[in-house]
Amino acid sequence: MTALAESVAGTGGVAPETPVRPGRRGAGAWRYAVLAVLGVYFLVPIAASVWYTVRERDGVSLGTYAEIPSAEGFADSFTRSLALAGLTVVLALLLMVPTVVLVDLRLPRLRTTVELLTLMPLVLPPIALVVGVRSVLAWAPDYFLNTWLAEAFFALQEPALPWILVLVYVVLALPFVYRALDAGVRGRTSGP
Amino acid sequence: MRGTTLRAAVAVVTTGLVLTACGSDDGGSSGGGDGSDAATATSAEDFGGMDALIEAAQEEGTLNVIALPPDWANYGEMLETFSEKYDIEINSASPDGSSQDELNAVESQRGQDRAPDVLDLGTAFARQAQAQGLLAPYKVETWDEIPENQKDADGHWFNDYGGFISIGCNASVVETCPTTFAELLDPQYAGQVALNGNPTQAAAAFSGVWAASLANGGSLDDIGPGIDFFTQIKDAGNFNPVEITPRPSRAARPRSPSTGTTSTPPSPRSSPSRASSGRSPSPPTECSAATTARRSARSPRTRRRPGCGRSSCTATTARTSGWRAAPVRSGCRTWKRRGPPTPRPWRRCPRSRATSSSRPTSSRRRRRPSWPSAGTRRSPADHRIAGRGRAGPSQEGPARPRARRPRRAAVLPVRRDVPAAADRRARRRGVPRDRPGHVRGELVDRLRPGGHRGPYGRSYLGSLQLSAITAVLGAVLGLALAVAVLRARRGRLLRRLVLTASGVLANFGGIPLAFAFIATIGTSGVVTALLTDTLGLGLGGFSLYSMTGLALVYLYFLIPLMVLTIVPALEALRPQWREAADNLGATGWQYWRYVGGPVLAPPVIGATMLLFASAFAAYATARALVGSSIPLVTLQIADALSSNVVVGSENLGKALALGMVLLIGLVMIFYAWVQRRTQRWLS
Repeated sequence: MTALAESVAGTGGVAPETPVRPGRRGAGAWRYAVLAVLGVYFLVPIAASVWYTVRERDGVSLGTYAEIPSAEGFADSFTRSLALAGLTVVLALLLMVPTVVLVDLRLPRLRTTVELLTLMPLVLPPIALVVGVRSVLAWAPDYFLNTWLAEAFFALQEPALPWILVLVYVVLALPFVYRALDAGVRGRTSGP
Repeated sequence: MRGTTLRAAVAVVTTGLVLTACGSDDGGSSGGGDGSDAATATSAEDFGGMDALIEAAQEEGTLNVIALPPDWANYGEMLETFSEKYDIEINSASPDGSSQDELNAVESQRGQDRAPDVLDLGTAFARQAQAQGLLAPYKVETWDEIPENQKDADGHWFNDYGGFISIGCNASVVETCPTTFAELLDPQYAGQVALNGNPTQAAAAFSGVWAASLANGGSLDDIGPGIDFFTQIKDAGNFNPVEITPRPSRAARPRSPSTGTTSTPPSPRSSPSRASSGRSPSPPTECSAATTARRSARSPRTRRRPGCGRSSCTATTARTSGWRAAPVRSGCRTWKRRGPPTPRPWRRCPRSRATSSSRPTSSRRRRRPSWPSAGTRRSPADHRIAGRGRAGPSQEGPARPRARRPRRAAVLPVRRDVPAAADRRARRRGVPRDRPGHVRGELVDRLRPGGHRGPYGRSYLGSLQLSAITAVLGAVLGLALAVAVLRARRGRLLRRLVLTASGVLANFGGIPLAFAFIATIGTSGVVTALLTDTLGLGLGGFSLYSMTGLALVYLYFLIPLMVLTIVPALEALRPQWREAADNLGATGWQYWRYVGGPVLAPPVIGATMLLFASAFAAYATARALVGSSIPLVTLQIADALSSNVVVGSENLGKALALGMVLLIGLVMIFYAWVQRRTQRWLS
């Protein structure tokens, strides 16, 4: 209101007696309605899932959570997931940091191309990507059987640590990694 | 318990596997005996007898089995006994897998060391696998004792056990257990009827549909009434698409349906389930019993040199029982493996397995041997093995082992090519179209809403509709939220909170999201219980497991995505514009119509496109919630990739995926164009 009054009357001026748009003040009710409705929509499922995990036939118990660490297969899968995530981050950075710096410093003309390429994963539904990857993996038994290439393909699919997943995850993470790095690098170079 | 029908039995046939590289033509010799090579051997004699087979298997050292639940049909004990007796390590993959999972593993692990050596499939799946060339023939030692109608004449599979289909009921949850199929339609079972698996992928669930068909006037040639029956159950609101698992479920765990048709050995583990039976007209199924074991061993040596491997397995044999076997019900587990020349030699099987002594399980599980004289049957069977080498898709026939076949990669042959090619191949082989497979294909078709026509077109339409509706709704609500938050006076904290939460929730999807909603308004969700039990209102026909339910869930990540995307654009709306408009006497409507609207339109449209693409590509959430009961392209692609129901479906999956890429490509081009227009205003 003050800002508005000043802009109307000028600094040091006299504020008009009535607000320019008197009706606006009460119009905020819908905002609270929106916030309330969406608040319920977003919070209830989370609350419900928490409740769902702790309720027992008679009362509440955190037993389910306590069982997690000792659940069969949990340790394995959990560490495997962590390993996959960690490897994905490392690999994505190894790949993108040099690329972004190089593009920024030496090959600015390629910026558009690189940007488009990194956006591909957003365009391509992951399931379609999987279809492609599967087709390629199928080459091993079909065409390369008994060659080192087939062995390499099989090694990628080793259940203990499926590297193929890391590779796919890196691709899926490209848009995010590129954008973040690009913003950082540009902020630096366009600075002082 | 009154019987109902079917259970799928499974038998294992083992097949062979290994092959080696015998250099010369048909392999003549090989390592373990004078028999021929493992890939082509069709009986233990081919390897030089059972002892040679055992030796070869031990040399290989491991046997890969798949989908053998330790607490089903006494598999746990059989596996252990086999391991001990022969000193062969058993690598048991996905114990809870379905028949379809097994076939998928055969395909996807072709050539790898961990590919399954032997399968335990429902009969329909065994026939289908045979038709697709996934199985290698091998006759176990007691082959002659298996009744003709319980085995494939060429040795691709045989039935080893069967069971009855009955209606299981958790008496601690359901007050009055149903005793007939018709009662499953009773409103008191709302949301509590389930099949134990996806009928297009699991033999037991498939048999459940078949049992319903028999109970409703269908026949072994007509599964239609069963499908219609389940449609009725679904329409009546009783069907719960959740798959029953045998795991013990905690009482509190809301989600498990309380009644369902289960196949035989229903899960013993879970609590109080008692089976009541549907009455089904159908005769008991027959079953055969066999156990099988097979192990394959691969010896290192073999890999290097042309050796041959063999596998053996044991199967117990069968005797016929007095019942008539209905083709359908019996299942077989088959095995197949034809691989390229793999040197996977052998597996041997123990001879008596399972049988008598260790059979505690059977009572628990109600597994019924097909042969009455189970005690006597100790049959050692041996197993078959066989892999015919086959290197590429084109190879026909038992290929002769290639000369060097080093690793044990057993390749499973497999059909993986195009449908057309597969058909051709099948024709060449003279493989008859197998009836159960056929029916299953029809089942698949009919399970999808809309009947027979254009399932794929429908799935695109379904995906487009769902994505468009959720994108527009998400855009409107997200915009409203963004505006509400940005404009709120004293709203800094709120604003940061909302933006942070949006960043998190926009990436919240898949299984956790599906779980949150199931816990909320699923069949036994918290809100559902509140509305239904406490307030007596009911959900008004709303079902989470429908297109509407899916839309509701999608909005959960689409609205935050919209907020994140549109906030920068909203912030770029300069307050001065509004003030200038006010000064000039414009009304709020005029401001939005001539100033705010035109400036915001491009980014809003762009963001909507993004939401559309995001909803269109969503997969895990939909899969977790509705399985494949709703026509969506992503679900359909996954089905095509993982299902052998339709020969050549993999190519179908590729085509569907390409269609998606093209569609999304168009959307993104439009998005880019819109973005470019936007820049003008926001710079």
